[in-house]
Amino acid sequence: MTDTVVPDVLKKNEKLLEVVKTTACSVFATMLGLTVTPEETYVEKHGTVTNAGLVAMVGMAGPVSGSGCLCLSKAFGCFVASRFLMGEYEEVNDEVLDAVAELTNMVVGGLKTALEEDLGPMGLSIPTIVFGENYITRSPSLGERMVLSFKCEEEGLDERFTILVCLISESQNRSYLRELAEFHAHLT
Amino acid sequence: MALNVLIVDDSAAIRKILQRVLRQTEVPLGEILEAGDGVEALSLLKAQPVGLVLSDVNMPNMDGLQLLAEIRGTESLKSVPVLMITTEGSQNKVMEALNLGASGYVRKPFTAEQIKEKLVGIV
Repeated sequence: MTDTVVPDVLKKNEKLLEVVKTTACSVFATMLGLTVTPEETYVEKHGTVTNAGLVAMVGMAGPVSGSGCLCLSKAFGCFVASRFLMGEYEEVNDEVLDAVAELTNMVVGGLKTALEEDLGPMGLSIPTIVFGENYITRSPSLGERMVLSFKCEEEGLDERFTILVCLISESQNRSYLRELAEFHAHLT
Repeated sequence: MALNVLIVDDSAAIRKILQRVLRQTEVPLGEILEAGDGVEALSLLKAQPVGLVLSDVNMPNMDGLQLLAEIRGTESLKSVPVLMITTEGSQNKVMEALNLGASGYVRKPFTAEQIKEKLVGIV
């Protein structure tokens, strides 16, 4: 999964990826009292990341468009919700989904704020969360999705989770939407 | 005198956390009310007296800044303190909220201590 040569998209977004790492560590420490450690960063090969667990997504729109996703296992989702809400959650329920969605909102909010410093005002969507087994999430083929992996080894845990970030420029987005409209027109 | 507090956030998790933080403060609490967006919040504010509002910014239907503008534009509500608690961290958003009359601004992620400190200054 890790490329030996650092891909251009990672070099170009190096500063933003650092923001995501710092924000994620801060959110987990402040809201959950958990130390998480960034591990590798790589570019996702389309369709190769099969998820089993929770994926929370928050969209961004403005001079650049894209999304940030937090992907974690069902067990880790229950654990972080238990820390977040100071309760005991052993199964994924609405409260667990809500807690994971809110953590994602905070991480992507940090990224959005960093983008705004250079690019100007941007919008943030409300979070969407998916929970299930054996599914794949993708972004449009024009955008390369960057994957940041983290580990959490506190309290006897040995959990890994990932944050996926995909950003495309305004012109790329316009071109994508035009293609999408043409595709729909062709269908009808 | 006990203070009714309204927590406005589309995340039930955050509403629950803020309830817990409020109960740890020395603020004399009356009823703690909850709303999932600005529309629901306005409806509650018009139905019963509220002495403090804690509000998110980014919410569906009516966001926190629109809610703040509505509160400041309503004679019976305009003096109610409103603390914004949000992931919106840009200086523009902070200034927009303060210009609209927010009593304070806390960025997520937050600690209980940060909320308590702000409340001491407001209530």
